[in-house]
Amino acid sequence: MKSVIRTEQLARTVTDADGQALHILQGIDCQIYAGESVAILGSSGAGKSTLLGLLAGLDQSTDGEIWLNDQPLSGLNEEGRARMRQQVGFVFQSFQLLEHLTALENVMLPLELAGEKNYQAIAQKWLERVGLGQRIKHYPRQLSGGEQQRVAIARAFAGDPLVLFADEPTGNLDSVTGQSIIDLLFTLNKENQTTLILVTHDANLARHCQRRLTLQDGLLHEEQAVAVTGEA
Amino acid sequence: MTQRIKHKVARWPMAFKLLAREWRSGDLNLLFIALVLAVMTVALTGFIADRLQRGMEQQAAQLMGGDLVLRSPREIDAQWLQEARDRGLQAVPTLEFASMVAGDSGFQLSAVKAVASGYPLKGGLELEKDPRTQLQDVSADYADSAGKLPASGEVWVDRRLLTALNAAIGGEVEIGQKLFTITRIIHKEPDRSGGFMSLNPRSLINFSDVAETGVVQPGSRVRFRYMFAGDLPAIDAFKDWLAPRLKPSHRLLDIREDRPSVGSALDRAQRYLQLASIGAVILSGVAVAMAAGRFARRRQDTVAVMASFGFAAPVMGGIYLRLLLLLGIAAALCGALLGFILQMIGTYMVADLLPVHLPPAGWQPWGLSVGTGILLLMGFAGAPLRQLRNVSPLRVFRRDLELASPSSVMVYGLALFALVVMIYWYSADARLTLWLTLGLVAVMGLSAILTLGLFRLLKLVGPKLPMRPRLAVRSLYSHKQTALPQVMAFGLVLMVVALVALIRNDLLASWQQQLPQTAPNYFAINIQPFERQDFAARLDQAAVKRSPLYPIVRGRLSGINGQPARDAVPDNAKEDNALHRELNLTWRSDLPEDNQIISGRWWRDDFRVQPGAMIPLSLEAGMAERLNLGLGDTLSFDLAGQIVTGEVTNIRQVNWDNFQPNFYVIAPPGVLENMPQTLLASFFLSDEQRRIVPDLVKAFPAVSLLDISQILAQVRQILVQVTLAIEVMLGFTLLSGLVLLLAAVKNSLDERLREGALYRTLGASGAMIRSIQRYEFVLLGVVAGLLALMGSELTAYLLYRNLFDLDYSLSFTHWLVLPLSGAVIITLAGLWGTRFVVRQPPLQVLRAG
Repeated sequence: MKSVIRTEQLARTVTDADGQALHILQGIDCQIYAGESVAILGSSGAGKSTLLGLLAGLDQSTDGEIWLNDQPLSGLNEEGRARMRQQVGFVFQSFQLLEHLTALENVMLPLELAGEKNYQAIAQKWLERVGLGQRIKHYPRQLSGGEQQRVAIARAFAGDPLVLFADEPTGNLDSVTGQSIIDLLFTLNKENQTTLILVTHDANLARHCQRRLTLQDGLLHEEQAVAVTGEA
Repeated sequence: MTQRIKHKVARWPMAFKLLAREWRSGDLNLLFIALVLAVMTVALTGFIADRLQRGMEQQAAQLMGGDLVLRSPREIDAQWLQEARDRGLQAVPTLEFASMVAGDSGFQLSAVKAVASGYPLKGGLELEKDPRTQLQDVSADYADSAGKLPASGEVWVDRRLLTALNAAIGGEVEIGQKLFTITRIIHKEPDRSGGFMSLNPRSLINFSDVAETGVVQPGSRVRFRYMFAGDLPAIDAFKDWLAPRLKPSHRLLDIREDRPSVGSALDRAQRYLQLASIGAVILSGVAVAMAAGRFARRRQDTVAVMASFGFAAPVMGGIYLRLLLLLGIAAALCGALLGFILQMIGTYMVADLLPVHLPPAGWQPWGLSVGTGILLLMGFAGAPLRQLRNVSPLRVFRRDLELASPSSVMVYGLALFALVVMIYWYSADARLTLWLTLGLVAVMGLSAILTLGLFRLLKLVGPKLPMRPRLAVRSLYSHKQTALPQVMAFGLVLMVVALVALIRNDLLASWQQQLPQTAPNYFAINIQPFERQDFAARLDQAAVKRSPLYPIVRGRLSGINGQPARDAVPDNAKEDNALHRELNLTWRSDLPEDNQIISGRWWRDDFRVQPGAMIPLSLEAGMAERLNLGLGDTLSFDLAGQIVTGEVTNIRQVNWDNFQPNFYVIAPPGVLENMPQTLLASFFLSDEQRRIVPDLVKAFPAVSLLDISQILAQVRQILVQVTLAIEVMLGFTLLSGLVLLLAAVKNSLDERLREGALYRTLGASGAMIRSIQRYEFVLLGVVAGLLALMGSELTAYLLYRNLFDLDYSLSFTHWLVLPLSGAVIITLAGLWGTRFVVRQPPLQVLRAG
């Protein structure tokens, strides 16, 4: 199987106010394969989001190497990493929609940035797929939390990403809405054969993933694979 | 009740504590800087304007011989002088009259001035040091009279008189029945005013000798000038005391009235200085409003958290308002002090360039600047911060509960109120306040409509554009809530700067035009008709730039509409000079240059009055107004016994500042040609050409030559100062424009940072984001430039017409320069202000949001 993401001895260290080095991540080796769904678990402050940021090329490691689609990230500057990010999609806990753009414009934006000609048609298609075909002209503030997250999911999938990164995607939602978002995310992931990397502290949500990695004291441990229970 | 009061009192210590904490957080920096800069600008301009104005007034007072002059045809009540002295003022009388001065080898009509001890109160009388100095040697050293005056029996004369009488120092002359010895030659007299009374050469005698000359009899045409000097407040108080006691024949002159050229220059300069500092304050005010808005947005969470702990939002809002007031006081004091120091450094550095010593500033600018700071803060920052009182504690749970924008009525109402108060406070001029406020409101309203229209247009064309401009247009349109105030702020900066620069150029140009380097510096009067051609030829031979020779017929205005003139005019005009002396009349076929017809029509070039037909007359506007005359009124003139009657067919505005011969009454050709007449000419002599003066005097002994180059030089000196003040003001307006520019850019920075991070997360490179931003700022700049264009043309039109008395013409360079420079300046400032957008790691920004 082809690995989409690979890390070797990945480390991230920050210095605190007293000049003490704080090792958030140390010596992390992992491989994530195409089409897999992987959950990264850990308690609050364990460094889950930091790891996600590194894997997605949003942040730089202090040591070690990351390969995204066989391309090493450490040699790239911010411009290079930005180019790499055109191959990935994001879903955030706080949605991160642009308030002043309509649902359609929010979904169009990454397509336009990637130079896609049919940006409007593609964005519209994806909004219809997440069930918001009637609300494409609505602004984020006119949508509920669940609807906003659907827009974010449409935005993430519209660019046909190699890897989809989801950071606590249900963290801001009630359990019923959260469940519907999880269902949507996994269904689309399956249909599009996207690699999904999901950061969560919710063991329930993690159970939907094929693999589960746990971060503890800066180290990553792999748990035994479990049956995928997520169903559309 | 007691508890409530206690609660209120506790807010001040809380505000103090909070101020210290907020200060450390750095979020108050922008507000503080904007405020300090605003106050500093006001203080700096205030101090400099105050000092320059004092300097200019001091110099103007020197031109007049005192701070205040009372002119009267008769001696005034001695009590008035006593009153002035009781008020701590110096008071000195002078008496002027025309008299023949007879020497051994001829006589000459002279303007005699009798002066008393203390004369001149302001400025100095300069005398030629060496009595044997040759006439050609105009650059000789001069000595100040140092308060000395001609002793009894002595006369000091100017060189013209000496030449005309062919006399010398030590010679004797007769004025009336008294014999005087010529002891000194006057080089420069501070209070030498224009007017035909003083066109004759000067003799200066002691006041105590007047009676013995026997020249001044009851009914003689004399002019008393009482000069007063002292502290300005005392002068003003005395003026107020005097005003109701004046008779119609009295004229009270202050520096603004006595010298038309200096007066109108000072007046316009003062208006300009006011306008420029108001411009700077408006710019700073908007910067303060923007910084305060940003601060309030960033403090919503604090207030919400405090509110959830039981400190109600109104209480917290109240504490923040107090904090604001404390900050305002601190900033105002800092700003005023900085302004004062900068002003000291600035004037010290240019001290050598200044034509006069600048007196120290008064206390007024301190009060003005500190007061401005506090008013500015409350007017422009009060509304956004007050809005913190409305933060819902629910925001603790729901971050999306954004604070509603404060009501626009509140924001603009408060700001406008503060502005009107300030403009009126600075200018004490209701007309200026009215026009500026109206102009501003109209411009702002029109700008908002125009901007929204342009945005809508952009939205329509947007989708057809390539990716980067398309995204820029969309960002602009979808951010119209923040982009509108931003574009208006940018527009305001460009507009105020353009306006201040435009008026500066036109003011300077109008002064240049009025007093070109070759403005006439000599007048020749009493040229006899038979000398006409010789005199002109003599000047032309020396290649002297001269005016035409205007014929002058002297006549007394004897009747108006068939009634004796004095009976026909309103009571307050009965003592008008025009009724009591001979007027200079002339005839012309064409309208003199610099004259403007304001009603009626000028006659055709080939018009000749037929015998027996009604004679049309052209009347000067000021005289028409004073004597309440209009078109169709008939005027009769007694011209050496012959009565000529004509009808006013047009009224002319005359530019009295231009040092050209000007006339109250002009007739068409065919009426006055056969009357006894003399001719008048003005001309410019360069230093080189001055050599011809003695020859002229010898060749035309009856012609009086009046050298007005000293008056011209003094006026020019004042204009240099005024110009400097104007340049300084322009500089400071630019500076406050820059601050507003940065505040406006900063205002959208939080949003741009988050958007930039998100764009980059979605795959946009830094270069792409910069390029989108560039398009956005260029668009903002062009739109702002268009607004500024509209605003500056409209306001300039209103100001020119109503305040500066300048001709308005559309400035086509502005049509190109404003949108272009708008695009360049705003793009540069915008890109500089948002440079961090692509520098911060996206993850950091997204987490913070």
